[in-house]
Amino acid sequence: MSPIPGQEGRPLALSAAVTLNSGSAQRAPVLALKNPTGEHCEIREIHVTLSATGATLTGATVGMKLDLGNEALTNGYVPVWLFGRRVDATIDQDRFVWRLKYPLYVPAGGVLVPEFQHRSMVKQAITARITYLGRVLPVGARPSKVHLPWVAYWASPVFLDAEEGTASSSETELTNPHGTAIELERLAGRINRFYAQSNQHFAATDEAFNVSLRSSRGEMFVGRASLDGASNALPFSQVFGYETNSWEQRGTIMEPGTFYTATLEKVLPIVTGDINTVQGFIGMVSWRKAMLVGGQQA
Amino acid sequence: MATYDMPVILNTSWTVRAGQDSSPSRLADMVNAYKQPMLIDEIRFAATPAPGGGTLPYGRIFRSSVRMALGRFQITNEFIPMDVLAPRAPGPGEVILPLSRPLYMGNTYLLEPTIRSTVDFTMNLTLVGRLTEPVALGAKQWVPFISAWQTPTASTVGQTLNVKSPRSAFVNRFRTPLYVKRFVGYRAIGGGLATGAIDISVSNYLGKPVLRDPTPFYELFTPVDRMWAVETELPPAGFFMFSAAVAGTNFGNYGRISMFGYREEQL
Amino acid sequence: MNPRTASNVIEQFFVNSFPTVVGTSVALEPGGSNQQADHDRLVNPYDNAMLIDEIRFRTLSPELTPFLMDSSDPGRSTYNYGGTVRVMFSLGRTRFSRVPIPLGCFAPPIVNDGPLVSDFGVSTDTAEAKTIVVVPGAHPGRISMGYFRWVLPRSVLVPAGMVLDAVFTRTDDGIVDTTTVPTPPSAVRVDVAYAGRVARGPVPGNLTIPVPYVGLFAHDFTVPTIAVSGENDLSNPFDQPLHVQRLIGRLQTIYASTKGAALNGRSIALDQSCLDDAALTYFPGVTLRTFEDFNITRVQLPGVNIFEGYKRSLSLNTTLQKNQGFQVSVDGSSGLPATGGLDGFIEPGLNTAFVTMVGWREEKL
Repeated sequence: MSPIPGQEGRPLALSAAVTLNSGSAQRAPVLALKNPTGEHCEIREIHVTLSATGATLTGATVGMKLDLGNEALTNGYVPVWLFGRRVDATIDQDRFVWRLKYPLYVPAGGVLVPEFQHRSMVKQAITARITYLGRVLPVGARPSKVHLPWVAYWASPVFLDAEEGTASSSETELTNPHGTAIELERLAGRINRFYAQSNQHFAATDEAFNVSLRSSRGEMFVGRASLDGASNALPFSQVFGYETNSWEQRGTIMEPGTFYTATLEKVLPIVTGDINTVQGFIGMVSWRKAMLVGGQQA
Repeated sequence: MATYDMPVILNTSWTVRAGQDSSPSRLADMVNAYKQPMLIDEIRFAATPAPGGGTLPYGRIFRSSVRMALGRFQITNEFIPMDVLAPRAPGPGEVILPLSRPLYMGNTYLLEPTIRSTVDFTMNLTLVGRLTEPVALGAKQWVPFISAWQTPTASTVGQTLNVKSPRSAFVNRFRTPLYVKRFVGYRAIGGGLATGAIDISVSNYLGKPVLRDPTPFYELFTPVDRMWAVETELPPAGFFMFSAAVAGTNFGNYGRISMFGYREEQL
Repeated sequence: MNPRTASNVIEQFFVNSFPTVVGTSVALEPGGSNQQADHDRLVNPYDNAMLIDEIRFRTLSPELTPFLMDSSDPGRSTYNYGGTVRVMFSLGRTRFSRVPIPLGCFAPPIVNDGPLVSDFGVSTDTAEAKTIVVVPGAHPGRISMGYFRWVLPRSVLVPAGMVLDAVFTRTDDGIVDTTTVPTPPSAVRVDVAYAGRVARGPVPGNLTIPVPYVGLFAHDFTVPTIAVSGENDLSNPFDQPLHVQRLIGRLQTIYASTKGAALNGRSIALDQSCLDDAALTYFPGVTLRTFEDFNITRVQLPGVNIFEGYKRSLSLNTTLQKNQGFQVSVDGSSGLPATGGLDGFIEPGLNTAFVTMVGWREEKL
C-alpha cells in the first residue's frame, strides 16, 4: 500500500545530558528536550547512555523517572536497563535503547521530562544522556486517543554470592495504580553482579536466582506447583530469556489495582569468587489508553 | 508450491583488486534459470580471501564501496561505503541489505554492482528472492535509493573540523516523492585506539531543525545496528543537511552517513 | 484454508489471557537416549487451555578441569551442545518431527555478541554458548552454558491437563572426563521451558490448530563425500499443506586438543571453522532444489551464502503440498574443518551437517 503523501511527518531528534553525583537526582535540561518547531510530535525511541570515569557501570546504577505534563509514567526511578529489551551484550554496560511499542504523543509546547537518580552503586559521578527519536506530526494529524507508557520495577535485596535466601516484591511495586486497565508489553529481568575485588559492576549472565510470579488475582503464573505439589520456580533466564532479558507479552492485561508478586530464590552460584554480591531487578513495561482533551491527555 | 513465489537464490563472485573498479564477470549467474522475472528480497555482499590471499583479515569488506543500478534505475547516487550500505550485519565480513519493498528484476535488465576497494579480496554477491509474474510495461514499481556522505578526516589533536553535508548528499533527485526509511551511520576507528568525538545536528530543506543541538554520533547511530529509523517523505528536490563537529585524533577521525529510501518508477 | 485462519480463531480465546512459563530439566550422558522431561512439570496445570508461544532451552556442560581449552584462547567457547542434544516434541499423538531435532536447529541462533565499534576484531564466544569461569585462579576451571530459543512459527494450543511432551537424546559425542580422579559427572543438564499464555475462559475442544513441524537432514562426514537429503527428510508427509517458514543450516564440529586430555580431549563447536580465523563461520557448499527439479540454486553455492550470516537461516515462506519437499546436497568432499585452533585436530567423522526445515500445518484436536 502506498504511503499517504504528506502524512509521513518529519523526523525529529532531541538530546540532553546531566551529570549526577553519587546519591543525587536531577532533571535533564528540559529546554533541550522540547520540540523547537513548536508543533505536535511523537517519540518512537528513547536512548539512554551512561558514562563515568573510573567506574564500570550497568543499567542498575542509574534510575530514571519520566513525566509528561501531570502524568507520571514510572513508579519512581526505574533502573534504565529495564525499559527496553537487551539488544546487544557488548554494549549493554552503558547504552540502552527503548523502542516504544506505541508512539508517545507529545503535544505542542509539551516535554517528556526525564529525571535521573544516581543510585550510589559507584562513588564516581555519572553522566546520563537521553535522546528522543521521533517525528513532528503532520498538520492536522493530532490523535484523539493516545497511548501512555507505565513502567514499574522491583529490586531485590543485595545478596552475597555464597548465601541463599528468598525475597518478594510488595503489592505497591509491580502494580497497575491507574483507574484503567493496562496492556503489558514485557516483563524485564536483570541481574547485577558486583565484583568487590575489582570494584566492577556487570550484567550477570550466570544464574543467581530462580523466579516465581503470582498475580493478585491468585494466578501463580510462573513457578506454579506441579501436579506432585513441588515448587516449580524456574531459572531466571528461562523466564526472562537470555538473549533479550525480557519476556515479551501478547495480550496480557492488568486490571486496575492489580499487581504481580515476584519472588526470587537466591541459589548458590555457578560462579564462585571473592566477596561478590548479586541483586535482581524485575520490571514491567505497559501501556494504557487515554483520551486527548483540548491538546492535553485526559 | 506455485510456480510463482518459488524461492530463488542467485550468486556470483569475482576478484576485487585494489584501486580498480570491478563488476561481476559472469553476468549469466545473475539470471535465474527460468528466465522469469523475480522479486529480490535481500541483497547480500560477503568477502572471502582473494585467490592466493590466505585467511581473510577482519573488516576487509569495509574498505570497499559499491555503486549499483538496475538497468536505467539508479540504486545508489555514487559509490556508497559498504559499512553504511545497510544496518549492521551480525558478521564482520558481510553486508546484508534487506528490501522491505522487494525489487522487481525483469528479464531485460540485471542488477549491476561495481565495487571499488583499497585492498584485494573476493566479493560474493547473493540475491535472495522469488519468481514473480511479469508486470505490464509502464507499471510502477518501488526502487530503492541510497546516498551517502563522509566527513573530512580530522587528524590534529585539539582541533575540531566543523563541516556540513553538501545539498547533493541527501537530496531527493527524483520527480516523485522519496520515502526515506532510515539513516545509517558509522564512525571509523583508527587502529582500535581511543576515538575522538563527532557531534551531529540535522536540518531539513525547510530550514527547520531535525536535531537542533549537537549530539554525539552514537546517540543517533547506536553501535547496535547503526541505524536511525525515520520513516519520512522527501518531496522532489527536498533534502536533509547534516552538520558535524569532528574532533581530531592522531589516527584520523571521520564519520559516514547514508540515507536509504524508496521511490516509484515506471518500468 | 487461509494459513492464518486457525491461528486467528484460537487467538480470540486468548484475549485478556495471563502469561505463564512452565519448565523442567533433564541430565543427559553421552549417548543417552529417550530421556523424557518430567511430565508433571510441563503439563498445563491450569483449568483452561494454554497457548505456547516460545520454547527456551539452556544447557550446562559438566565442570571442566583446567587446561581443557587452548590456554592461548581461553575465551573460546567450545562446548556448544546445540547439535548433540536433540529433542522430540509431541502433543498427544501429534508429533512435531519425525526424528529428534538438535536444539540449535529450531531457530536462528542468538546473535554473536562480538565487538561493535570496530570490525577489526571478533569475539570467538558466541552468545549461544558461553564459557564462564567456575573456579578463578591461574588455571581457571570453566563451564559452558548454551542458550537456544525457538519462537514457534504458530503458537500451539495445549488443552488443560494435557502436556507437550519433550523427549531428549544426546549423541555419543565423547565429551567425558577420562583423566580426573575421581571421575566427575559427564552429564549435560538441559533445561526446557515453555513460555505462553493461559486463557481465562473455556476453549472449545474441537478446534483445528496449527502445529509446528520440523524436518531434519543430518549427515556425519565419516569420509569426504557429497551428502544428499532423502525424500523423507525435508518434505511434507501430511495430507494437508505444510507452510514452510525457513531452512536452517548448521555444521557441528567435534575437535580434539592435544593440550590436556580432560574430557577425552574433545570439545564441540557449531559453525566455527576452527581455523585460525575462528570468526569465519562455515558451512559446506550447498545445492538446493525442489522434488519437482526446480533449482533454487543454479549451481553449488557456499553454504554461508544460503544460510545467511549468523542467522544460519534462509527464509522461505512457501507452502508444500503432500509429498512435495526440498532436496539438499551438502558438499563435504573437501574443505571441511580439519584443525582445532593452535593445537588441535579433528578426527574424521566428527563434522556433522544439519539442515532443518521449520514450518507448521493444521491438525484437528
